[in-house]
Amino acid sequence: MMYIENIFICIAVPMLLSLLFIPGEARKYTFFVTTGMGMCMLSAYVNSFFMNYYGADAVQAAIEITPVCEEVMKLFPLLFYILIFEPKKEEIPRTAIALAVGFATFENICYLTENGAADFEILVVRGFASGALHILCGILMGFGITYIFRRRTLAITGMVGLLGACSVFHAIYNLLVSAEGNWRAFGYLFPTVMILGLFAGWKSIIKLKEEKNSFT
Amino acid sequence: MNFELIDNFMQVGVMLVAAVADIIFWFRQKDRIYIILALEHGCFMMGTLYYVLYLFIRGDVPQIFYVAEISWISSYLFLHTYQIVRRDGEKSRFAPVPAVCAAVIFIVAMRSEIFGPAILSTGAFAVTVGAITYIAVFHMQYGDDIRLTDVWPLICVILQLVLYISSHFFNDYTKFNLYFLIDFVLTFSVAGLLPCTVSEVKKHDVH
Repeated sequence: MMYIENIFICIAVPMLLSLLFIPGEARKYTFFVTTGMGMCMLSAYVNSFFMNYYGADAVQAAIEITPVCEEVMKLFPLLFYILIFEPKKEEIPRTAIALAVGFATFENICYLTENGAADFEILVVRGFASGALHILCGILMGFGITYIFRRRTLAITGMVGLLGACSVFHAIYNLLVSAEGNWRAFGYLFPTVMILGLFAGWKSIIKLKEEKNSFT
Repeated sequence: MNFELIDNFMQVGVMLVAAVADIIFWFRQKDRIYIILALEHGCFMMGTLYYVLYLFIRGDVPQIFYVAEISWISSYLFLHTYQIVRRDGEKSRFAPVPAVCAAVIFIVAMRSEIFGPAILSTGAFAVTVGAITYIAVFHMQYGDDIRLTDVWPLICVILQLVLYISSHFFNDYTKFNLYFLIDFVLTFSVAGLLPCTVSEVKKHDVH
């Protein structure tokens, strides 16, 4: 038996206490990371409910139920923030990424509690892969809502579409990781490679823009 | 080799190439329409990839939440967004002919139980393809000109419905049959949205 809520309280309380003394962007970031952790805990409850409802085993749930539940749960606080607080558009991707980071962190904490921390190599690979996966989903959701589907007429269909895209991307990762041998290795590798590629692409675009500006 | 796998691999390959080409066009032309197309092709590809990987790894089709369906529905949602963006600034209103066409598509999608007994996903798909049909027919009827980007999504929707309906008549997916022929045509039609968009953007968006 894993007391997930006890773990959450133990980790979240210091972070929430720090909010009293940290101003500005750091406060927002810490708050959304903690919210992401809370959403991870809640999604574990939702997963368990559906798992029992459909009589699914752990692997089947991880491949078919978990990705959808997790992505939906991650979207809720972002949606709440956008609709209630109407933030500036550049704040939305940051928030989505912070939520994803919190989610991935708490997921890794639960993994450590369940499986132990003895195997360093596996933990490093898992840390990179699951972190990269959640951050990629956060980037897709945040930038998609902000820059592609920002107009009201496109917002609903765009957001639901992005949710579907994130869910299936997450499901493919879980499916590969649940297999053995090369499939698993590939599953751990592809989010890491993708996030590194994205980072390199982003940096080169900024560099190109700076070079263009210096010419003009 | 099982023909279903050949068909699915071909679909993944074609959609991947289309999505990469969309991203290249987006970088070159800085037009949001291409990134929406990339998402559309990407979702179609990921849905099929999930399905084929599941078959490979688990040796069966998904049993509970059919995640591939969610991805295909998302793909059609992006197609709907694509239509709206292509007709930017032109307002739609209620019109009987597009409404009847949309209703027919909606009923056919619901009646053919496209996603099996799962009413929620079948309903979501039916509403999405109904909306695509409405906008396509509306602009074909009332638009200043008939654009390829209005006709093409409608062709994709009809082919998708024909594909699902044809699946009721086939049980053996190990050999080539009419179902796969329709699937090939559908795959290339969905991928064909890119050249169609490129030609339409050149024609209509000359500044």
